[in-house]
Amino acid sequence: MPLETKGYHGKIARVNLTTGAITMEEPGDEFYRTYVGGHGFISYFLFREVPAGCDPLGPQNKLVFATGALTGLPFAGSGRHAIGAKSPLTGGYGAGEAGGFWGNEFKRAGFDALIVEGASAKPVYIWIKDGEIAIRDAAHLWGLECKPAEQAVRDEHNDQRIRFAQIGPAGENKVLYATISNDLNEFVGRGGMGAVMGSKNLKGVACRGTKLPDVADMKTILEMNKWMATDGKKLYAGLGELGTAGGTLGSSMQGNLPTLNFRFGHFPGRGLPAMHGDAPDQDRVDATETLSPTEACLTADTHGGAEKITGQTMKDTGFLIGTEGCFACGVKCKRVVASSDRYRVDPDYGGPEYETIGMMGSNCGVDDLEAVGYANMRLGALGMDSVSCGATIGWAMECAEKGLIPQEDLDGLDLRFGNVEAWLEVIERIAYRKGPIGNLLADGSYRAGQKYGPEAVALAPVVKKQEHPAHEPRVKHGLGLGYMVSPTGADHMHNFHDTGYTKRTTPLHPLGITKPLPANDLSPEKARMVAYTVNWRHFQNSAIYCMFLPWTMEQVTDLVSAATGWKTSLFELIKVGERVNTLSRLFNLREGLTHETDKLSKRFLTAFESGPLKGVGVPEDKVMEARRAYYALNGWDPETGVPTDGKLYDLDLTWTKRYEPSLSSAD
Amino acid sequence: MEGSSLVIHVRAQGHLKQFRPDKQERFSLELPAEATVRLLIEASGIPWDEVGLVAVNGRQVEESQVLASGDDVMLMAPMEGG
Repeated sequence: MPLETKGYHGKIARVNLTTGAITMEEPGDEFYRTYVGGHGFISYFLFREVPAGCDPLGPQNKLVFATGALTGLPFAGSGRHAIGAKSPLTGGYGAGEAGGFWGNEFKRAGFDALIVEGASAKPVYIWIKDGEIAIRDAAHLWGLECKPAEQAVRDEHNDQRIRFAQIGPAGENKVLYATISNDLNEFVGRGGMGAVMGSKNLKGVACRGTKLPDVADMKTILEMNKWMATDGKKLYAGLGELGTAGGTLGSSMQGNLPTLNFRFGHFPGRGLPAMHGDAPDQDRVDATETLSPTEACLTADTHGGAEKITGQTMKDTGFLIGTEGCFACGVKCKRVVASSDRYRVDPDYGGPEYETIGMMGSNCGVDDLEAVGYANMRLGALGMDSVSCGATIGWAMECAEKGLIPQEDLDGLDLRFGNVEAWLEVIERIAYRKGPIGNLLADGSYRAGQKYGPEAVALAPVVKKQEHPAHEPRVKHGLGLGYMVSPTGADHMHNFHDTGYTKRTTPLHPLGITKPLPANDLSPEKARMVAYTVNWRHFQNSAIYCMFLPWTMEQVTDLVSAATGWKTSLFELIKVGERVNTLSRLFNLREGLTHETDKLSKRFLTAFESGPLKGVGVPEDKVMEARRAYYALNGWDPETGVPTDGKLYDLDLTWTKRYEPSLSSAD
Repeated sequence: MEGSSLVIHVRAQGHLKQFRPDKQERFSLELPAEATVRLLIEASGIPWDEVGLVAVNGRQVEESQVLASGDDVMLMAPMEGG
């Protein structure tokens, strides 16, 4: 029966790399309205099809590429897609989102999603053009970094407009935090989706398409986009001017900037420039010239290091040479940075975002912005997540400084905080699993820590073995709760940032949340704020659109109606997000990731030794109480976090009970 | 009243300068004695809810902070994620 719903093609492609079979499915209106796209599709297919206990890097795992109702439509924020699989890093539900142009191109090529299963005997890539799918040989692409690989595919088809979602050498070598990137500067970064792709001998998915599905009301979509480009513009002006990097200095002042493996939240510097005027103000220069980064953090409550790597400095020093945006978006939050004699940077890989600056910069004690720009390019070329990579290197530096990793295991690398030379070298070794230290750190901080005992494990900044992004639970306690209960492990992409709701809660008013709360609050009211926001985020990642665009919940409801023709409501949409949250939890429970894994590592329960939040840690008793409240708010058992039957009825997920307690069949 | 006013140096980071009449990022304001950060923001013409974080002499402060003459104030926009 043809699809009545607009905004979709109604077609989901399936490619089996073991057999070479390419098939098509048309799941119908009810499926689309229930799961919408993105994480909705991913959680559905992973739960139904990926056998419990399977090797994430084996052929039984499946890799799902998904767009949503809003992907590729002509309005700002629609250039997004999601990719998911069982994560080799966490052993549970894995998924991430990326911007750029691939999602739009894939959708125009005639499909709503692509499920890749099995594994190829030799390197291949998938080629999709206007409804046709082929498996192509990729022997000539295997081993290439991302830019030459993308160029080779474009040249092969004599079409420079092809978009290529791909792995770099890190994915080929199954680094557990390898990315799948597109457009060279957009990444599905978390959870090792690139390693899953590498395990299937799949180098990439190339797309070229010319036809969007019909939408119900294009006039409304265009009018709303016009509003965002005019009246709405002032709402995102800051992001366009300095990018996400603009928040780096403020982050340090709040104690929020990951510094030296999250031991500190502020980043003092050496020889910082004055805050006003061109000449350095001697009274304000940190007296840390002769101190190690650790000693500086312990003794100085200043932020010179953060100031050297913040977005404003990027602009003031001329390091910033341009900005870029994603499909149909005028925000242009992405950075383009300059090459220099010291570090040759290819601008096609873009410049560092806040996450990269925080995790690869301050978290490793590096205050050289040009070096961070270069590392950002190398991570892009190699296809590695800057969050997990920076956290893992920072962890190794602390362990090395404390003697927890013996010298002989460091393979000649002087992994001190702030040692740029060793820091750049270890990136390369990780990507190629070169030598004992490269191979060790390619498995992430938690697994590496297991080699060296409980003290080393305790320093790993992880939830469910996935490293924390550059946002600090000791500043934002609700965010810490969000990390604990996230289905993907520590992840800020479906989380709550307390500091945005201490003065006002305007964006949450449509959900009935009207009372601002302090960032360090962990009351049941905060748990409610977190639960509602997280479920909305899961919807956003299903629809799928960029959360940097200040679309209100009411506007998004209108956009979804205009795209699909559904007369939908905010109630229906947030239920979609809630469904994703519960379904991904059911996936994790089936894999053995119970409430026992919903906890923060010791580092974040320990008080800061210095800095703006000296003496502040996340209070364990309060955050565990907030976890009980969060479970209950979601209709999960307050102690075990297992969804109740009532919640399964509520979310139309009773079908999942047929799959309990575990799947033993292969297909 | 002579001797009781404060001169405060301000840097409005990022897009916050767009709210200033001359669009300049760095400027000085003369404020009455005992002026708070909140009063400074109001006097600057930058909307209160556009300001995510305020630092005085390099340290984050609350908006109730009382200013002293010669203080360097940095106003930053709220920023999350990345």
